Amino acid sequence: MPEMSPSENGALIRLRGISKVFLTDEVETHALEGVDLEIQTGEFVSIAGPSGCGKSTLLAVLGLLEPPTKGEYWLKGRPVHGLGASERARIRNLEIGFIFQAFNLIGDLTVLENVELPLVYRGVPAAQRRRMALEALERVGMAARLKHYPSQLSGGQQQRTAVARALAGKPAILLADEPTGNLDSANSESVMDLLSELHASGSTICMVTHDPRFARRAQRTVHLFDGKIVPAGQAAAL
Amino acid sequence: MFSGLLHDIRYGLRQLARQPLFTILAAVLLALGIGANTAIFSIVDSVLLRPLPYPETDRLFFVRVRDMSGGDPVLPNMLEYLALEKGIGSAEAVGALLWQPFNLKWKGQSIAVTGGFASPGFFPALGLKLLAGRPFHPEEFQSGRNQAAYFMQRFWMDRMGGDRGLLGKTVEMEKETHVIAGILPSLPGEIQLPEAVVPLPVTREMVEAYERRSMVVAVRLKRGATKHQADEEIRAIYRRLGEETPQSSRNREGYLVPAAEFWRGKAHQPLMVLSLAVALVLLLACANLAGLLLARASSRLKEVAIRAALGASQVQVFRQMITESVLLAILGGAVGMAGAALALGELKAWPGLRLPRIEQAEMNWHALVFALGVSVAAGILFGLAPALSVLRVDLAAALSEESRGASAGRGRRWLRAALVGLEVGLCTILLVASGLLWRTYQRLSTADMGFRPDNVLLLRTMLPQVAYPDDAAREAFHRQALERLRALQGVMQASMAAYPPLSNVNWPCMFRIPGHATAGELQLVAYNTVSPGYFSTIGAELRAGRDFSESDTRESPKVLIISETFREQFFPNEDPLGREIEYVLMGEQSRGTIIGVVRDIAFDRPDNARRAMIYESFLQRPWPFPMFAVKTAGPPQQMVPAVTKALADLAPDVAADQVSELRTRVNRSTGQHSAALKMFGLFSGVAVVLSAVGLYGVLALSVAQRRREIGVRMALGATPERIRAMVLRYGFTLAGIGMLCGMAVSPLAGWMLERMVYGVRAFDPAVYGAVALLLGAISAGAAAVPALRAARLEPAAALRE
Repeated sequence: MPEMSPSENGALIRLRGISKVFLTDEVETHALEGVDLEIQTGEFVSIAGPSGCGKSTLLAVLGLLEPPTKGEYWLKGRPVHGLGASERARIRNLEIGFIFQAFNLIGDLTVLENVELPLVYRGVPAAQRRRMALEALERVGMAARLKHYPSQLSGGQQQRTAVARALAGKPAILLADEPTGNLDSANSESVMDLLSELHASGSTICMVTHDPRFARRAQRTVHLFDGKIVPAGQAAAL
Repeated sequence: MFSGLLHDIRYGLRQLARQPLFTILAAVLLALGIGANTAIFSIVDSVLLRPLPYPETDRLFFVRVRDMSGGDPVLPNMLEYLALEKGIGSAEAVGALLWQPFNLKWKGQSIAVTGGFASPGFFPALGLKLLAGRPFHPEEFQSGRNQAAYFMQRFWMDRMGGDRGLLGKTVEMEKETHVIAGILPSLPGEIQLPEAVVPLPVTREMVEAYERRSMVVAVRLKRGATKHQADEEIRAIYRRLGEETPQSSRNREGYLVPAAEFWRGKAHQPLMVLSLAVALVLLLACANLAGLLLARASSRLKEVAIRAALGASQVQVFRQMITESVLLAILGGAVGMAGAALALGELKAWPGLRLPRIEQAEMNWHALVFALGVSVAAGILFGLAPALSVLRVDLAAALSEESRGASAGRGRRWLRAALVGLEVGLCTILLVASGLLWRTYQRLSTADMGFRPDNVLLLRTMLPQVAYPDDAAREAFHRQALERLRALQGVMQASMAAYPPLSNVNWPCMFRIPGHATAGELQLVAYNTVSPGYFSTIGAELRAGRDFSESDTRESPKVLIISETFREQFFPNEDPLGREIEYVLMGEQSRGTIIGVVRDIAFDRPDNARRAMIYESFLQRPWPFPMFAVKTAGPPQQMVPAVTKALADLAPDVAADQVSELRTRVNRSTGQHSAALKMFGLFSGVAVVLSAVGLYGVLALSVAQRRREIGVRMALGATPERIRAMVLRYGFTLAGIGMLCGMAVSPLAGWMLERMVYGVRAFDPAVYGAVALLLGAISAGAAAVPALRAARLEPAAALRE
C-alpha cells in the first residue's frame, strides 16, 4: 500500500524527521533532531522548552527562514523543504505572518508603512494595500497611530503594530516568537488577549514561549528538549 | 592644558599604531590630496608669488596698448615710445627694448642670438645692475657709435666660456665690431631679456626703419607717484599722437601694467585651474576620510562614554578626537611631501606646462609651511564631523551591556550619506572638466587645419643688416638659398613665408575694395607674405586661380591671394579673381589684383582656421627674416644637417635659427590641452577611485548595521532580489543625488577651464551623458558587493543578533 501523502490528512503544516545542524568554527550544533510535527488549520499551538532547546530554530524552520538540514516540510500540502531562497520568501510572504519578541518594526517607517510592508513585497496595489493595512490596524486597536514612528510608541503598542503587520496579508499561520518577552505584565496580557481573539476568529497560531501561563492559552503545547519533541510528562520531569 | 595636549598626542599616536591598516589607508588618501596640492603650490609659488628680481617692483610698470578697433593688447611702437619717454612726468625713468635677432661671430662660427637694442632709460627703469663691466656711455646712443655690447650672464657662461678677461675685448656681431662692455645678471626665472644687448641709437634712419616695430617699454614711477597719474599722462600722449600721427597711433590707447602681471602674462590661468582641481581632490579625500572616521567613531562610542563617565568634558573629548585627526593628517602630509617632490620633477618636465620660472619650483620651506598648514586644516576638516558626532552620544545607552557599539544614529547615517554625495559631486565636476577638455582636445586633434604638417621642416635665417643692407641683397640671398635647398636630395619643395601656420602672429593690414559695397571704409585683415610654391609646400590647397610665380616681381603689378573666408565675407556672390584691393601695410599704401583663393590656414590653434587673410608675393615684398619651409621626402629631422650646411655654404655668416618641424608646431599648439587633459584625467581617476571606495564603504556599513532590518524584511517576504535591489537603489540614490548636485555646479568646471575649452558647449550633452553613464557603472560596481552580501544574508541569523 503506497505511503499516504503528508497533505492527505488535512494538516496545514507537517514536519517529518526535521533536523537542523549549525556549523560554527568546525563545531556541529544539532539544534533540531528528527522533529515530527503537525499543525492543523485553526489550531493554536505553543512551543515550550528551556533556553537553547531549539524553540526559535523550530520556529525559523516553520517560518521558512531556515531550510532544514534534513527532513520534510509540507505546508498546505506542498513540499517546501527543498525550495530556494526566492521561492521561500514568496511563500513566507503569502502564507506566514511573524511576530517577534523584539517587535522588529523598521524605525524609519511609520506604523502604517510598517504594516503595509509585506503587502508591498506581495505587489498589492497601493489603495488595496492601505485598506488591508488599516483593517489590520483597526483589529489590533492601533488605527489612531498611523503616522507615528515606532520610537514614538510604547512597547505594547509596538507589539500590537507588529501583530497588525503579521495579520495584514491574511497569512495561513501566525508564528510568534516570545511575543511577550519584551513587555511588562499588563502589556503581555493585552497582547495575549489579542492573540486569543485572533485564534477565536479562525487564525492558526504557533507561539514560542517559555512562560507556562501564556503557553496554557494555547490548545496544545509542544515540548522541546535538546532539539527533540518530548511528551508533556517527560518534559515536566526533565 | 599643555600636558593635556601631550597626553592627547600620545594617545592619538597609540590609536594610529593600534590600527595600522586604517592608518596606512588614511595616510595614503591624504598623501594623494596634500601631495598634489603641495606640488602645484610649489609651482604657483615660483611662478606667481615669488617677487620679481628687481628693486621696488611696486614702482615698476610696463606699457601696453589697446587698439580701440579690437584685438588683444599690444606693445607700443617706436614713435609712441619716443613720445612716452619725454611725456610721462610722474616717471623716474622710461626705457625701451627693441628685440632684434643678432648674428654673433664666435670662434669662427655664426651663432644666432636673441638680441635687443636698449634705450638709455631701460636698465635704470628696471633697476638692473651690471654684474661686471661699465654702464652705457651717453655717446653710445648716437648713430655709428653704438658699439658697446652686453651679454647675459648665462650666455656668457655657457657660450663664451665665462672669461671676465673678455671685458673690453671686441667681438663681431651683425658684421660690425662691438666692444664687450658688461655682463647682465641672469635673473632668476624666465623673465626674458635678450642674450645680447646693444644701445639703441635714436636716429632718423633708425626711427624710419623701426617706427612701427613693437618695443618693451618699462616705466619706473617716481616715489609717491601713482599709476593713475601716469595712466592719465599716457592717455593724453596717445590722444596727441592720434592726431599727429594717425597712420600709426589712431584708435590706440596706452596704459600701465604692473611688472609682475606683465612678465607673468596668462600663466595664472592654467595654475588657477590646476589649483582648483587639486583642491577638489583634497576635499574629496577629506570627505572620504571623514566617512571612514565616522564609521570608526561608531565603534568608539563606548570608549567615549567611559571617558565622559570618568569626568572628561566635551571639550576634552572633542580635542582628543581632533588631535587624532590632525596627527593622521600630518602623517599623510609627510608622505604627501615626498610624493610632491617626485610629482614636481615630473610636472616641471611636462612639455605642455610651459610657465615662466617653473623650472625654479622646488620643495622649499614655503612648500613645507603650506603642506603643514593644509595638513592641519584637512585634519580639522575631516575630523570635525566624527568628533561632533560622538559628543552627542547617549551615555547610558553606550555604557549598557547590550550596547553593541555598532549602531549608527540616524544623524550619523545621514552625514555619511551626505559625505558620499559630496564625493560623487566633486568627482562629477572633475569628470565633466575632463570630458570638456577631452572634447576640446579631440576637436583640436581632428581639426581641418587647411594644411598638411607632415614632412615639413621650418627654419629661419637672420641676415645681418650690414651685410644685407637692402631688399635687393636680401632677395638675392633668399633666391639663392631656395635654389640650393631645392637642389638637395631628399628635398621635394622649398619656399618661404613671413610666418608659418600656427604662429599666432597678427600683422594687421587695412584695406578697401574699390567698387564694393564696403568701399568707403577701411577694413582690418590679417596679412602674410609668401614665396611661390609656399602653399603647395605646406599642403594648402588653392581653391581658385593661381599661385604666385617667379614672374610676379617688384617690377610687375602687385598680385594678391586671398583666403576662403575673405572670399566668403567680401565676395559671397561674385568671382574675386581679377578684382583689385587697395591696402595699407606698415604705412605704405598699395593696390593689388586678386589672382587666387587659398584654403583657410590655421592661425593660432588647429581649429581656428577661419580668418580673412591677404597674401602678398614674397618677391614683391621681401621680409627681413622669413621662415623657410622645406618639404622633405623622409623624416625632416634627417634633413637638418644637409639643409643647415647648404645655407652655411651659401653664407657662412648667417646662422640658421628656430629649426623645427611643422608637425612639432602643431603638437605644441595642442600641448597645453594634452597636458591639462592628462592631469585632469589623473585627478578624475583618483576622484573616481575615492568616490567608489566611499560609496562602497557607506553601503557596506549600512548593510552591516541594517542586518536585523534586512532580516525582518526577509521574514516579511522580501526576496533576495528585492534586498539586492534595495541596496543598489540606495547606492544609486546617493550617487545620483551627488551626481545631480555635481552637474548643477559643473558650469564651475566650464568657468575654470574658460581659456582651455573651446568649440565645446559648457553643457555638452555627450560629456554629461558619458559622465552619467560612467558614474552609473562605477556606482553599480561599488554597490554590487554590499548588495550581494545583503541578499545572501540568513534572515534567521540576522534576527538572532
